[in-house]
Amino acid sequence: MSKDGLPGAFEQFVLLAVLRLGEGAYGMTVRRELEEKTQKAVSLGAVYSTLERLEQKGYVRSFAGEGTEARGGRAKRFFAVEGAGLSALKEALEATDRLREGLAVLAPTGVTS
Amino acid sequence: MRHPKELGWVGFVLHHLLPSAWREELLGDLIEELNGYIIPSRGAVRAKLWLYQQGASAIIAGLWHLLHRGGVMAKRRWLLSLLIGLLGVLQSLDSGVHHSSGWVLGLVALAVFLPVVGLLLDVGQPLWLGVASAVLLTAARAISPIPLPELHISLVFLVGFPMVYYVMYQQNTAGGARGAV
Repeated sequence: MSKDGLPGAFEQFVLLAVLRLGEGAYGMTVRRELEEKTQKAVSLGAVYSTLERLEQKGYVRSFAGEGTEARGGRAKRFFAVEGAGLSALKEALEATDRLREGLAVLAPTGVTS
Repeated sequence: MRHPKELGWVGFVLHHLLPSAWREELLGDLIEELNGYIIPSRGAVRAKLWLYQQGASAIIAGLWHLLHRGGVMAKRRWLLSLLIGLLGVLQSLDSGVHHSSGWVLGLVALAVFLPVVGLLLDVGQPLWLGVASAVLLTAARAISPIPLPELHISLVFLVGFPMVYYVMYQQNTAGGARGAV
């Protein structure tokens, strides 16, 4: 298991969103991706504090983009998942899968067992 | 960078309260999403509600960040602000402010609130916040229907403690041990 333990549920969501967005992952796109895929309201503050925590754990890295007029001249901060983040995410998802295995009540929609 | 006019007073508040680590990026994201997606899809009124909601949750996340990620100095600052708030309230009650009018109580509460929040959010300017507290306490004494001779003693905590903290803080910063955000 990674030294910081398994990432929490919201941390896993954020890591997945950053992975899905690839080179276009920054605060606003991560928030929108999370909101679209989870169908729940997500705040930008929660996204940023989680991304910073993930960066401190070494799970993501960030780099500055350029400021645009649409952002009032403010720079974007892009995020990318690091190897450690990918390993921790896989570990967490595999653990979830193992716990879920054999539980008919949690079978994915459309699958009967 | 100055506070973003595109977000109105919410931008002003966020500019002053968000942690510097992600202030500019978050404000840029808010401006981009508000103008590019939220206003066109939800209209101006619902967009404003969305902005208030995002602003409030960003401030809560920022305060949480300051408490948990701010290092030793930030934790000391939080403890000290709780202490001066407590001492300020106790001293004010001891001077009999609760027997006075609602206006007096409000002024005293504001006088205690200002330096506590100033220290909590690391606004700096302990002297100016202290002057504001002293003015509020003086006003409270002036309009109080009953005498409150001991009210100003609370200035020892409300002004003295933050000033001592910032002197210590500056020494730490000069020594390269800045731990606060």
